[in-house]
Amino acid sequence: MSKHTLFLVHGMGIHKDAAWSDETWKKIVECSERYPHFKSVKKLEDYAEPYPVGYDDLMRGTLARWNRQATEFGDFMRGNELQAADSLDWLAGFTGTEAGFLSSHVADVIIYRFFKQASAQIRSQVQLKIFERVKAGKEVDVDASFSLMSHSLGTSVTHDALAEMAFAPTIGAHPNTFDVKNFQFKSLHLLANVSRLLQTTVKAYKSPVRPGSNGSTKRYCDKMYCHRHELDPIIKPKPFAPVAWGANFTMTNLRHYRAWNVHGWLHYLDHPEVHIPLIRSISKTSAIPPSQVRKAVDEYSRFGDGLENLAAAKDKLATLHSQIQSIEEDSDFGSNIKNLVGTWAGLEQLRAHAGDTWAKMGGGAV
Amino acid sequence: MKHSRHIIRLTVFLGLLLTNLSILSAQTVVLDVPLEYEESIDVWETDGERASSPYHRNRLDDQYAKSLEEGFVVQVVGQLVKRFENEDWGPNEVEQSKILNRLNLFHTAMKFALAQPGIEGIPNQLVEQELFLRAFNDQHFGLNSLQMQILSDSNGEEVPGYFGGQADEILLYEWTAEGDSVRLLLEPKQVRQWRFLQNTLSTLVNNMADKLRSVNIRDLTLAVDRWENFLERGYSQMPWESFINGYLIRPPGLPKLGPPGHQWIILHPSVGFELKVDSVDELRVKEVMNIELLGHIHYWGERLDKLWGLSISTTLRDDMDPGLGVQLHLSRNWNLGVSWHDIEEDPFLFMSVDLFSAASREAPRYLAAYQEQRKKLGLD
Repeated sequence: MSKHTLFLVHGMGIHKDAAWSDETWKKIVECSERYPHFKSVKKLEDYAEPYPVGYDDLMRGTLARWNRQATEFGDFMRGNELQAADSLDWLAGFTGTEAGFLSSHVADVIIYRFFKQASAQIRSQVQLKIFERVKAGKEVDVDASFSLMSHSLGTSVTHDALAEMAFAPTIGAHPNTFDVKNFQFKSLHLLANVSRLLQTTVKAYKSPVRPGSNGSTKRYCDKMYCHRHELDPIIKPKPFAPVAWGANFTMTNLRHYRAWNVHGWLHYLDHPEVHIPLIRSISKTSAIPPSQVRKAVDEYSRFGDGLENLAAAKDKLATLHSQIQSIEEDSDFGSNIKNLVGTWAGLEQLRAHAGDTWAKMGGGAV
Repeated sequence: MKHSRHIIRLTVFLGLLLTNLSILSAQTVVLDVPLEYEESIDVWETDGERASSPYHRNRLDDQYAKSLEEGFVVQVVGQLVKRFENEDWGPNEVEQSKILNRLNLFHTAMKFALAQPGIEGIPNQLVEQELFLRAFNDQHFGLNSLQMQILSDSNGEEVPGYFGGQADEILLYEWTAEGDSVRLLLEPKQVRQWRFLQNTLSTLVNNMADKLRSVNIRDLTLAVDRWENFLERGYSQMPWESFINGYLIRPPGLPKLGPPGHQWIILHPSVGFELKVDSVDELRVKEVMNIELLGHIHYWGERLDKLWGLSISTTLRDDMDPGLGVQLHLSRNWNLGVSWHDIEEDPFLFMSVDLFSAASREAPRYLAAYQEQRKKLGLD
């Protein structure tokens, strides 16, 4: 039986092995079990399977190359007692393998936004991974369907890779069987969408990566869902908020607090307005009827049931709200790095203030 | 009150029973949507349908196999459409006529695309498939045009359907206002007929692009390989070079495959050795720091795995004034050049080593071995 393929594209930071996608898929399955159909009729795993699409190896590779160049240079110069041996030392050590926010996360964003060769290589790899799978799926079942969920920097990578593919009339010298005339995703789910903030060649609002019918030559998916959290610092500058994209486009503003890391995609996924459209897309629409959708959304409390030190956390949230207001929406990424890092530090303080239960629910990879 | 609840339960039960018997009439309200309305064909098709449904894709391998082999694709599509036209969809004839509209357009597009000069019979050669797909796309049809979509019903709820956004849009069911049951807009038997037919036609059209799809993947793989050779096995770039090259020579992206194929060298530091050969006795090797001021590398070969380039460089050593030279790149690891520390004297030969190459780690070992040999020969 052919299953629906859900492509998962990670965000910034270190994503060395498949653990990030396993963790994400586990969360989606866990969320599905909140609904009767998946508990008693058919499991989500029988409908769909995840397919991780990573580019972390290229990010780490770029940083490692620079680090190695600097190290080799310094070693040779020092070994031969030559002058200026330390002139490239500033590059060494910046490997991006450290857990620090600046050295791993911000470095990723800077590489993707400002180093065009690196970003082009990433797009190329992502395109191959996705469409290799599409080809294999179509060979098994011509009606095989595909959805994609990406997070944070992954939304920008996804957007750029797909926009390029959708509009290319040929791949090399041959007609493109994966362009917008010949292929569409069933749904795209973009969490903490930064495609407008980091947009490069194809502008996010003019992109074919938008929803619509397959009769159109400018729509690359049936449905598109974008989700943003009110306190997510990453999406504040240049937020993605298209106007008049039609009924097939859904934008959700989230206000829930179930963990300290409100940018983490597990925290996003926990919300019914995020996971229900995803689960329905990759299984079937009737698996969660509208009545159950309304109930799930209505009953989902803003603050997690088991959270301790709620009062302290709420105080901290108020401070963070003020901080996030200082991020100018129309400014670019560069001018807001300080505010972004500040808000991130604030979220980590929230973890410390609010207690163990908040910290344990880390919100997942960023 | 109690009676009315029983009546509702009985109605739903009868609905389910009829669904299972596949004799539901249109507009029937059910709690559970029959499988054929949403799930993959292989989940709900029966052995009987696989063997004898006139629309099942297996008919391409038996009933229509000979015709297709002889190249009568348009005729096969015509026969399938004609057969569908003769089905009696009763009260759902409007939906049937919408599907027929699309099928007739599909048939016309196929006829046009297959009539392209250069296509003989069923397009099974790459060149034929290219001609076919281009012409088919020009007729506003693609490989996925008949595929099921997620559409919206009158309440704005998501439902499966076909031909979204067009006058011929059809939905398979719609949600009731309560949102806990659905009203079936086509009979299960009709859904099965249509889904088999659309799957068969999609299979047919996708088979006529299979080689093309494989070539697309081969080319995407080539693009990834080229990037790998360019960035990871080509002449290394320092961060500022990578940044500047990205802006000066924008990576072309699709439809071009991979990197631009050339790069500038800008203030590129490396390490190396200078040699001066007046006589064998006079052979001297000295470690130097080499900075390429400006240069250019060109890549070639299908996978961009070969390179050559030139640069102007300066060599810095602690016992002489800086030298100025020209450097030739023929491989990533070792580069050759000449440099002048004094314009009135003979130039030095020099070799530089790419910092990212394995040679850079080996170089000190080679140098130590060389010094050792000189001592043994009594030259020092």
